Amino acid sequence: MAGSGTAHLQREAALLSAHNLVRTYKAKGGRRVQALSDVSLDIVAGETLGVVGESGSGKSTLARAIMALPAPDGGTVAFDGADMLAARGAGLRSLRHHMQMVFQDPLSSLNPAHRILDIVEMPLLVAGRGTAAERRRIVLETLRSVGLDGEQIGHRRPYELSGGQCQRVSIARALVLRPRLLVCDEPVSALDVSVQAQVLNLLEDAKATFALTMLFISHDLGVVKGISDRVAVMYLGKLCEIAPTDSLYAAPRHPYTATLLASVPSLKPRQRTQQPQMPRGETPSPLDVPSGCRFRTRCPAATDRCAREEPQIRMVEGSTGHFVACHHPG
Amino acid sequence: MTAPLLEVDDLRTHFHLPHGTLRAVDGVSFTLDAGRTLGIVGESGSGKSVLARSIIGLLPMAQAHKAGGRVLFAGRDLRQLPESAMRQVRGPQIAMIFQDPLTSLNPVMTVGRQIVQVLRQHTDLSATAARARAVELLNEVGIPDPKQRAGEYAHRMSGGMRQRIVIAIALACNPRLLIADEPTTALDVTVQAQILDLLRRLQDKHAMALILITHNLGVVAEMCDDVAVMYAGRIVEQAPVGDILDRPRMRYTHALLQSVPDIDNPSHMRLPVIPGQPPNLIAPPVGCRFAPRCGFRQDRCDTDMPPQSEASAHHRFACFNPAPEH
Repeated sequence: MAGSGTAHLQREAALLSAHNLVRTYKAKGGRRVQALSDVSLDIVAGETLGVVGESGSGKSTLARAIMALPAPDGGTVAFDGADMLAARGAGLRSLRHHMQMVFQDPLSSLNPAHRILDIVEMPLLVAGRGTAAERRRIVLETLRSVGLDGEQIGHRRPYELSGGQCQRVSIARALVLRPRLLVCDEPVSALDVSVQAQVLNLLEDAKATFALTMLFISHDLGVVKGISDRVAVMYLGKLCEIAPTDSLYAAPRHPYTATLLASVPSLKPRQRTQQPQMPRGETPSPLDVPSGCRFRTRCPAATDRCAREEPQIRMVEGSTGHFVACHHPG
Repeated sequence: MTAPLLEVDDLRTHFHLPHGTLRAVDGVSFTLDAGRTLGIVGESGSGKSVLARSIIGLLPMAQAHKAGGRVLFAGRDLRQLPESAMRQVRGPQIAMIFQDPLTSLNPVMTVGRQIVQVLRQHTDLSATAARARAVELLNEVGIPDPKQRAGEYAHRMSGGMRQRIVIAIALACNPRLLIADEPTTALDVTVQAQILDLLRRLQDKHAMALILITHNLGVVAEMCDDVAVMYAGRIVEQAPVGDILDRPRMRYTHALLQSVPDIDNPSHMRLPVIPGQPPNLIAPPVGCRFAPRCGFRQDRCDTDMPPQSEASAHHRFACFNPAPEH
């Protein structure tokens, strides 16, 4: 898996195009970790693109590279045709107003000393929008759209709210500038299942209300399936497979995707024709990635070729928009 | 019929806090037979971890108050045992593993020595024999190169390997009951599948009973014989796993199952939600504790605590207005 290439890019109607992103971190002893290795993605206007992967797959690094937070070491990011990585200062800031982020831990991503009203107003202040009265109106309206009564909770501080309410505040803060792209990095992972459902429904509603395009990152394959139109699977800094949600979940082509899906415990007894194969081993250290396809050390279908040659992303024959980077797709 | 291995009867553990008494576990009863797996599911704050720690006596007794109930393990009431006697129960009789394998392991002691320590404490093995047994145990839990790994420290290992080590330590003395508190929550999904498989195989091999505490209903579906659903310090429904998943009666169980974004759901399915938040356990509702969030609430739900009703011999639930049987 773990391939490079750009065959899967849609070019038409992409709100955001990220090409050949590379992000390297320095590790101890002068070693380098390539957290993102030649990853290309595009997000079509109006869609929700899900990104799944395990720890160390590079999914959060991808989100940050797209936002230029910090900028990747290599590659290009175009937002509605504008070059994100060439933009500086005020130009970059005004581009970022169109793309906002929601993080995993609702409590630590909100300033504990600030009141909810001030937290949600902050982006408007930074962007220099409106008068105080107009800003207050927008803040209350946005809080209402996430199911919070600003009159009632606006003067409280984050620690006085529950986890689910804090995540609603985070979402309101992200929406207050009326962005076009919402990047969600594990937005429901810290929440209990009943609260998780509330927040997922809220994101779907917000998407419709504000005509959002969404990048939704999660390790939870059930959550991603529920919310995404297309899903990308990452492993060790590479893209393995990207396809429309139903196609990916019903007929995964990459052995890693198949392994992931088979590992998820389900409430519904699945028709298993055979005992699912136990996943082999664990993700190798990103300091020492396998040659060729990065999944080959755990792959039941690996051959010599997988060690020599990195698979390129290509379209699955006869499919609609199903792309896989594998020499021996299932 | 033989007596169950573990019988928990009206167990209550309360915490005395400056602003009131928090009723973390408030009248929990269940039984567990040898070799069976009981899942305890619930959301944050439902009391499932406090329940587990109450059974094994691992709570800070300065704050935690044994407010009542019995924990009969192989006929003895563990609540009445002095700490010195409990130390002989923990390990050889009942072992426990936790969510975060790194904080369960000693960072400055090799993993091999940590196993040897347990063996020397609870068995009469010689130092040499204990070291050999430690390597055997590492091999049994699927650690490659067990001999070499025994000499390493936990920080050099992946999350999955660490949890295998923790399991090896827990099983060192062949306990009759293993309590696993969210054992796979910190792990990636492929590693979770491996650890669950390992637990299943070891449980078979050692004929051990297992209490699996988790918030993940999928894990329960794959692992458990029986399930107890906790809400606000009480068990609101318990039954064999198939009954819980397919024929839940208590309204909370029903709503909880509906709100899971299951991988076999269609995409863009709107999830039914449970409104509101779990109650404050310092001043819980007098009636059914789920009543304030329940869409099927009746007047008496606010005033009376629903008793345990029987749907069948092994299926009990506490609800005045239960979901209909299909």
